[in-house]
Amino acid sequence: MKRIQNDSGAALVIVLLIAAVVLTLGPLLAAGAISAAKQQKDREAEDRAVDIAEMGVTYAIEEANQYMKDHPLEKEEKLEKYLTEMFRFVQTKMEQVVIDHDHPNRKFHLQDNIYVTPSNTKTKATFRVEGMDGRKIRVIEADIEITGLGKESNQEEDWREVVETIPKKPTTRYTFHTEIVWSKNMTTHYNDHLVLEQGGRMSNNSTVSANNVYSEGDFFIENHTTFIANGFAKLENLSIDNNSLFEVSGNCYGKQLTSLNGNPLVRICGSAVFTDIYMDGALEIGRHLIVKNAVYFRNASVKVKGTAVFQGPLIIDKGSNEMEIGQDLILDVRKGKPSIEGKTIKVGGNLILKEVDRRDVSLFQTLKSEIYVAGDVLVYYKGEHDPEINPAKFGIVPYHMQNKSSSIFYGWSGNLNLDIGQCSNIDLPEEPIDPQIKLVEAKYK
Amino acid sequence: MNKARFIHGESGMTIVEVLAALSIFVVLVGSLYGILVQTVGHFQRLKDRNELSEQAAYITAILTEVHRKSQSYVIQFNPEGQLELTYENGLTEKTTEIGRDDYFIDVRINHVQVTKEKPVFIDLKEEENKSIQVLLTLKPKHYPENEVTVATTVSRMTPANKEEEE
Repeated sequence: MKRIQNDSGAALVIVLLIAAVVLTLGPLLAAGAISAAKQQKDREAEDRAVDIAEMGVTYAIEEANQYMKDHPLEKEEKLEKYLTEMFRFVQTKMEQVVIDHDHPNRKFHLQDNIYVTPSNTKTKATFRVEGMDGRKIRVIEADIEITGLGKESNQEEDWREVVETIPKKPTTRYTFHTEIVWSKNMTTHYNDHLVLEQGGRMSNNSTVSANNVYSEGDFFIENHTTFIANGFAKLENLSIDNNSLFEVSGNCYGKQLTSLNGNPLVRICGSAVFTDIYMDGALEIGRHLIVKNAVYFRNASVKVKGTAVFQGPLIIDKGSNEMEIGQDLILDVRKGKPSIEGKTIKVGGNLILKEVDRRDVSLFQTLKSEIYVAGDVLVYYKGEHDPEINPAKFGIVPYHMQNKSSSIFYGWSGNLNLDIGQCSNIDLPEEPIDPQIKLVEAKYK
Repeated sequence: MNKARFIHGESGMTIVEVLAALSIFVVLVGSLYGILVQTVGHFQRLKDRNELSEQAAYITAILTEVHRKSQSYVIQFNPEGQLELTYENGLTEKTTEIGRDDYFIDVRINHVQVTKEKPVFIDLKEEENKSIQVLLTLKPKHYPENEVTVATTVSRMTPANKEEEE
């Protein structure tokens, strides 16, 4: 009793003060933390929904690929019907997937509205996948391309890919900052890549070999010399003559290829991309040959195992030997009509002429040689999308109806001699056996 | 008589007692005030840090959105020091400004620091830009030690379609 009466009341004030502080700040802090946590949770759910949608797109493509492998398109089967059934199958499979046993509300769904543009070469389709995490739903629209469903191969895309994949400068201890001149009668082997920042010059019986070769200056190979690149070769201008050999195991990218005399051999086991060619001697290409500007074959023999694409004027002089092309021969006449006076040209695929003027009476400036085409002759006129196939003009006739007034014979069934020396172990890929789906673009909605 | 009893009685407090009580009171109140100030300060810093984390998450979310939905974009700082995202999607170009007065932003894209003088351009039509590394640091002006750093990878499934632009 005495203690209570004597108490001055300070303890109560202190307790009340602390209680007031705690009661004011505590809920504020708690509210802030709860709000932040909720926002964080929502954001995570949205992100997860996007991730699930991405997963759904990948899953749909995988399942569609598997379907095409397990149920190949029959010859008499309609492509539209086949694709409808395929997407229905994929949709059913996706509905059965359990993404997370602990969170059954996390799932993906293939929407019904699927747009398909069927084609024998490249079918395009667009579908949408929903990714769900509870109430958060995110949608991805996927544009895909399906190749290999039809009979035709995809060679054109194949050579385009070569043009677009120019290799980068390799890193190597054999990097020369000035023009390098290799001594006469010397053999030099670089057991790594070779980078020539100012180009190089070889003469008189010298031999040089390296892995990948990257030259930023001009390259001269003269008088019985041999240059071998065991990988790719990326060059500026290349000049070769007098019984010299330039051999590349992989692809070769260059500007101007010039051989003025002698009987040099340029052998590229992969594909070759040049800006211009002025050539005497032999040119052997293991895959595709693409020339962006003018080509002048003076006394040349040419073998291309893949497709040969001449995007500028092609001039074959009368001194030239046979030209043999394993796949298509594509001539773009926009920059000038071809002039062909050499020996015969044999084409294992189609002869394709692009940018032809409808008013033209002739496809060639001069055509004194016969062109034998195993496939068809496709003429694409300026501004038109679809080609005229084997038109009954321009001297184009079926092989079995060949006559003296005609020069281009399609449906030819002869043989090509495309044996390319050291490149025999590098084969051209066959036409794709399994159809393939490529995701072109995923659009986040 | 009563007055005399009050003065001389035992129930009164001597000056020493009063001074002692006052001293104890002052010491107690002082230390409590210190605790109170510290608590409020701590609370404020915690609140700032939470807000900063939210801001960092918000900036990352915007960057992710822009990265996934546009064809190209530029990250730069405007003269006011705000982070500016200018993105284009086919025909349209838009700008979003992010940032407040109470913190500084430091952004590094693929280890390259974005500055007023050096904007970073991301062309999403290029395969190599499908995925970028982002290091974002928000530093409060008043409590720089409270900075928040977020390291993340922002990606999309495919590059933007080149043909669409043509």
